[in-house]
Amino acid sequence: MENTPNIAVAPEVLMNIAGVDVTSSMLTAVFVTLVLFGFVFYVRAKLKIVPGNAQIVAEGVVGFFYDQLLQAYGGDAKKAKRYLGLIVSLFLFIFISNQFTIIPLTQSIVADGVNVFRAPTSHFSLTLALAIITFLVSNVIAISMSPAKWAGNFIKIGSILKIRKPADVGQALLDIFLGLLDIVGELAKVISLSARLFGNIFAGEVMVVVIASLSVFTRYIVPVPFYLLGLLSGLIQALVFAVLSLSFIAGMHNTIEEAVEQGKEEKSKKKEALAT
Amino acid sequence: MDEALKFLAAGICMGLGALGPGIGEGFVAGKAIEAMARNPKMADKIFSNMLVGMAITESTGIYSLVVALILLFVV
Repeated sequence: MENTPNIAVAPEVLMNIAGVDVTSSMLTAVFVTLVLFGFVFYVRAKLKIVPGNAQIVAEGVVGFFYDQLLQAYGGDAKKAKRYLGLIVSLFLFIFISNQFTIIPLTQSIVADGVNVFRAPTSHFSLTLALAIITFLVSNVIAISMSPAKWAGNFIKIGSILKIRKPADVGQALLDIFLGLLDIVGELAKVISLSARLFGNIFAGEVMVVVIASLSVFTRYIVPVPFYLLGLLSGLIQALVFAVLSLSFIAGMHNTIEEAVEQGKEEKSKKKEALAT
Repeated sequence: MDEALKFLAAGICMGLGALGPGIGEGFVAGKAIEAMARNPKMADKIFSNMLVGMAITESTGIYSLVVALILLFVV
């Protein structure tokens, strides 16, 4: 295996600042943030009633996710606006990170034999961090809405209290088991979200490197279709990440809210029954 | 010997892992095209939904890819 290309899952360490290793993907993430800030302030400075090109793009992106959020929250505009910022910034950050290495010459900057720029999303730590952000937003806000209902969503003790006849025992046990499975499912969401994004972007890069290193003839034009595929999958994965985290967050909050309202209704029914 | 087993494991993992998503994506694309042929006005919306659905269907394949990459470059 003497002509295998140099492929590493862990990004290369560029320098060490105050005990923290600064890797190539971290540096690129900072640049992506700068690009994002530049774009946003450019659009903001040029806001007009008749939109320019950049404003049309920005409005399209924000409008798309606003519609999705409205749908997910059942037309509640206040809640949709509350989470709009998070979802759109997730999408824009991942999208620009995925496409960053397409910018010409960024792959040619080499320091000490190490590429300075590398797509941040091809580093598992970053995608894991983004997935954990989604996880925390969905669960912490659900806890703040109603801790008891949130815990009851996973540990279904309430179903034991509903046992009236022996045939209900099986149903209650099944409910408890399904609740425990939901805990696993919630943790699996983090892994699936992060692994999907990381796998797609990293695989795209590995593909191009492997094709380019096959022989001298496949070096120049042959990798181009794979770059195009990478462009497409970068867009789709950013979209999928944003839409999935949106639906996780909205789904969690909606179930908690429904449970809270159900509890209220039951209480008022009991009061009515007592009053009569 | 260990090296060879590693490559073998990665190959088997990727090969078997690609079966399911392949079948699944075929279903997604087939159904989407069926829907588009019935209702061409909705084609744009169906197409974008199809892409998202495909990306989600693909995820099990991506998991096996991640496992294969870990086998190759990390273990």
